[in-house]
Amino acid sequence: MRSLSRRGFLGVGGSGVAGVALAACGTSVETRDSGHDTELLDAALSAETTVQATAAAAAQTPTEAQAEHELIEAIASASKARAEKLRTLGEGASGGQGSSEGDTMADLARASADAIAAYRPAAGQLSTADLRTTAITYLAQSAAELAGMRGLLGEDPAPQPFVTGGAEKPFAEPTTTTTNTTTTESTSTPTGG
Amino acid sequence: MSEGVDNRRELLRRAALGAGALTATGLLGPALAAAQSTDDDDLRDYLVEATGLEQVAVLAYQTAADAKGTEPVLRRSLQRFGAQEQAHADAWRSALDSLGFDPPDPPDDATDTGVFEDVDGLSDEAANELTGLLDKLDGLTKPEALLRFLVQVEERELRYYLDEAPGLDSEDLSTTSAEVAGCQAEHLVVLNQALGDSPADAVKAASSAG
Repeated sequence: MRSLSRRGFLGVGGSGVAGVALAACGTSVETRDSGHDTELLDAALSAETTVQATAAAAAQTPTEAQAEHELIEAIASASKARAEKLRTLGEGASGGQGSSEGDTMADLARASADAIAAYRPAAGQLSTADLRTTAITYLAQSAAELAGMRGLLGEDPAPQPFVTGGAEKPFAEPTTTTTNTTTTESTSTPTGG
Repeated sequence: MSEGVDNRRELLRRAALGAGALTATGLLGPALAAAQSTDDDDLRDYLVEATGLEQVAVLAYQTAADAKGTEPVLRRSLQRFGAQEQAHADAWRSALDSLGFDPPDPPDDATDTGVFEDVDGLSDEAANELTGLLDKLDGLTKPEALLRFLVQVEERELRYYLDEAPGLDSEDLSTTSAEVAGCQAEHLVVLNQALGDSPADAVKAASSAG
């Protein structure tokens, strides 16, 4: 399994012809091995325990909005389960010390976006398909939770076609295209989506 | 396979994914076609089915947005979600094109089931499923029925990415698929709420859909 640095990838993505030329020159590559597993799982666990702690704090904050309270409780429960699973996968990982980033739903939404940003590289780089399945599943679950919170916060629940969780641009940058069914104008502007 | 050839093939795959930013992806075709291999065929198979699912979703969102009785606020969401599905399809189509494979044509409407016949890389089972989805979409006119169909399609897409993306021989395809899966999960939350779920129940349903 081969891998390029992100900068290298974007260079290829920005100019396909240049990418073919680079390939012929044998650009250096990384290996998709287990060497980064601990680091990736540690980052995911750290982000998830922050979600868990922030959800617990938010759940203690009085609110008259029943829907908000129910969603925070649901996220707290789901986050706890994910963190417990990550601990079993990441033996040797030092994550799990996350602390609350606040006690509001907006704080929890930011923590959730950070968790998505942690799961994203893990989904591609973890060394086994089983580990990558866990990462992509948890990214999707976190995205669902973030969408639910955004809706209650009056924000766009699904602002971007490629969910990165942070400032990182997606690999596949959408362009304006016209098809026989739809005219699409998408943007790759990162918004934590 | 030699290290140099391995490096080149991975670079070509990455060029394929990044090709969404290109305006003339056809320039890559001849060089990439020469690099096709069994592993590339595996990527093609994944991308072809993903493209088919996304194109069905585009059509379904368009149909739901245009349906008589769809509330204006929901209509705007459906239009935007359809555009996002099209962005996914465009990324996969660009990848296929740059690898030297033909992407499946998008269906013109729900009766256009022929687009999934005899497509290289699309199994009979997958073709039948995609055709079945179009058959099911054909004739749906009521907003609630269309929303329920969209939930079915989004759940199928999410399952596809969760099941198939982790095993791909490409880090970037797996990562981009994760980004797309996140978007499908977000769509499901909105759709389930439009069908009456509370936010918490909508999130739980989306989280368990994969």
